[in-house]
Amino acid sequence: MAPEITQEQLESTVGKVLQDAAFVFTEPLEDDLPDEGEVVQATLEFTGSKDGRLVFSVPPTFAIELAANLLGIEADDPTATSQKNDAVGETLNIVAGILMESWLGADAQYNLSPPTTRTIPPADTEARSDEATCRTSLAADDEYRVDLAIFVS
Amino acid sequence: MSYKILIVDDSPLMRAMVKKSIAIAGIPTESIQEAGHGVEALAILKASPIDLVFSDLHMPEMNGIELVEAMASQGLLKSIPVVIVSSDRSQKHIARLKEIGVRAYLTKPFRPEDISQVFKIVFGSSEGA
Repeated sequence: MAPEITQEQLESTVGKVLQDAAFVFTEPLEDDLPDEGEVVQATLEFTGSKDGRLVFSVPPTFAIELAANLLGIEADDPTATSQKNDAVGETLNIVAGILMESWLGADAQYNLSPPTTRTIPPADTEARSDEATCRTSLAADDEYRVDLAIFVS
Repeated sequence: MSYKILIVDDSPLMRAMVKKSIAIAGIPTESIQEAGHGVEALAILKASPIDLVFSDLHMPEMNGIELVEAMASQGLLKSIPVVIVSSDRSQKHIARLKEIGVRAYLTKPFRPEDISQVFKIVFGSSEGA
């Protein structure tokens, strides 16, 4: 039987992925950061020994920065803006792979769906929902609020 | 030798990241083609000579496993090595992929050094000598 997933696991996984893949540093969110009016939300479903979904949301400005860092281009390059949703989805994809391994073990059998993304008001993002099985909020580069939630069926 | 490479991923961002890592790793390339899923990849493989395929696992239309199986059934896998690039770290999945003929498996996030290592595994050299 898989152990319960912890907030520390979510926090360390998303922090490590953002640092290793995009050179972004995160800290636990202590003081709320201002929202931009919208967030880019990515959702990915997992099935196997555990079923559920992961939801990740970031402000659009941070999504552009993320795309730029992943591609090694400047944030004002139009490609960074056009790839911002894809960057959030791919980041969640990487988070999911590492999280499943640390939570369920290397021998666990599971399937990950391709991530889907959409832009919505911050109040609507499931990544901040109290109904999540577990969730975490981080400050990225001291500027941007980043949320990750897991819903286990 | 310069390599003719095909990158298969539904994410344009991930295709660009693989392409960039190949360049940073200093791998000599003659051409790099891109496909958004397995069906597109098979069409390219039938039309052009390719030395190495980098493919994602989870894609619409035809996923990475289906692509490898189709390449095997069409006799393409004997001459064109496939490297899977995925965030999926399930050892059972990785073992299954190697059983059906995948030459190497690269987990995301990857670095240019990991790409060099893949070329060493597949061709015995990262410089194509």
